[in-house]
Amino acid sequence: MSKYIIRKLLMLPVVLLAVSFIIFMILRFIPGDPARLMAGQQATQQDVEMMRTKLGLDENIFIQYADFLQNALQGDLGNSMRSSKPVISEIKSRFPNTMALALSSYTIAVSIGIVSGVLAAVFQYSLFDQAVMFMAILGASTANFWLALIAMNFFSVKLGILPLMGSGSWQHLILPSLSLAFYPTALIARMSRSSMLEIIRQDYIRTAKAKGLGAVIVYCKHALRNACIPIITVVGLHFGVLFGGAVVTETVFNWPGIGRLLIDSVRYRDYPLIQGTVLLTVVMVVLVNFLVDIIIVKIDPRIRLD
Amino acid sequence: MFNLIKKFLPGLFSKQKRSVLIGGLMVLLLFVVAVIAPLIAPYDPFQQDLINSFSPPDAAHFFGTDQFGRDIFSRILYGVRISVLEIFLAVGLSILMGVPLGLVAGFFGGKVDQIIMWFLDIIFSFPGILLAILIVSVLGTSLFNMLIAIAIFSVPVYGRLTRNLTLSLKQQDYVLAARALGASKFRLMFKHILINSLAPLLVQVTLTAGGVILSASSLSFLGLGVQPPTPEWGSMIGSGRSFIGMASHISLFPGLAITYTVLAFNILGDGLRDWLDPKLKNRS
Repeated sequence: MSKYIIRKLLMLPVVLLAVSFIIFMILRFIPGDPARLMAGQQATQQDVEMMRTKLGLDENIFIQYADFLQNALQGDLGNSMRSSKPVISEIKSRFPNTMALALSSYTIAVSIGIVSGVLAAVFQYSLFDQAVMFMAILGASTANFWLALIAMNFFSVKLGILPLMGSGSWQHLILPSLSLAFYPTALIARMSRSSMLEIIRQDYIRTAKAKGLGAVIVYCKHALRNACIPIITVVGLHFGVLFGGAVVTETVFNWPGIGRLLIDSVRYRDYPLIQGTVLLTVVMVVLVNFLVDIIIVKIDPRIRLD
Repeated sequence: MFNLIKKFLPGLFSKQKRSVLIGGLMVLLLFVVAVIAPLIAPYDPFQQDLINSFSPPDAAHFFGTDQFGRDIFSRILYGVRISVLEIFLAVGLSILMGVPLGLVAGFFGGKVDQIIMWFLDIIFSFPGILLAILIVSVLGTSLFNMLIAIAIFSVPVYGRLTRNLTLSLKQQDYVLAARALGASKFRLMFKHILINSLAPLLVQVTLTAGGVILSASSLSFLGLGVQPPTPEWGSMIGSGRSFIGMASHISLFPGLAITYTVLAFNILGDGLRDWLDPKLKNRS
């Protein structure tokens, strides 16, 4: 077990290094002169040259990357071109909002997805099973930003029972969380159903039933534990998808999180802020995927033997 | 491909093939609409009629009109063309990049395989839409740049699939026989292995087509993809966003069009996968 985790741990900095290098390099393909862009259109040639030296743009690209990495490790991701504030403090102020949105959506998706998927498998071919499968395929086919607008129109404009947009209270979180959770709920429900179907036809489940064990023990203790590996994989991998979805959902609901910060920074071509937001989000997703790998090995010892 | 169609025809209306048939017909309808859009659209999709702006759905305008009085039904019909173009270009580009990488990785194995797979895993660790936003922010907002961005984050899907298929196919007797007869590596990869990987790749194409539409419409909705007045569904929803309280039909119908299109490809993809994979077919 420890050997597997050590191997994964050793790979982690390599992956993070590669990811940061890709992000750094992509932004070096900005058309035009980055120094001129950062200095502003009104800047003189001397200002532009000063900015070039300040940013280290006259250095070799690998030296530039090493500098960027060194600063990033010390928590310095540069300053926003628009607000002149440090990128890290801009992100820090938005981070709790995105986490609140992501965690509430995640809780909804995982609880509804697993419960409905497991029940659909236990009552296969029933009306409930068909309803779950219909909702699952619909959920995987619906654009979450559109669903968010429709929900906004119905619950906020027509019924007036939930706030239209913005933040400040737990009620503000309901519509963004629900609309962001729709897609992952559908995928988790489908995966839970198919994993459970595979397991509940195994001999040991039949034996457990023949021994006279109650349905709850058979399905929850014996079946679900063995069906949960693919479910956890899907749940873990969709953390990244959820963060991607949050970019759009935050924009629709004017939710002051990292996603909206990213879209605003793209609109204003604020490259240090784009770089910082994408870097921190990807690092977080990579770390979550690493944790999922470790959890899966804990649950299923067969994986580490492979 | 011809063999696949021949295999499909007997028992066309059986329960096993129902999803393929329904999904296939839904996708076929899309392609037909894309071709005949100018013939069936009642109005010019760009023609403004400010006197009739915000008209609700009625006999003159089936889906109503938008803030500029443009007929939403006609714009949605023309939007099918954009969506089909998005699917062809984004999926085509990701196949062009991913399939050769997967073929080379699976065929040569060893260090080549490790390096290629490592590279694909790195791309895969990015949330797709974030990578797309990053690329679009550098290349600029346009349909083509958006499709390049979507294609890049789909490359690992095709690379991994082709690599796994190549690993199993290269051990098959017919490939070993061709190798013994002196077939070149290029011929083995592209003539013998790739041709026999087409069916699973086709399933993957149908499964990713829906994802392409969702990603493209999300980017256009955010203003990072297709720009108005082009009748792209995501962009249409985005421009109707400010009027959601007074004229929700502006955003409602393009969203339904997206759901229909993604649903069509998902049903077809699921059906094809269940039909071609006996393990899954027996399960449900």
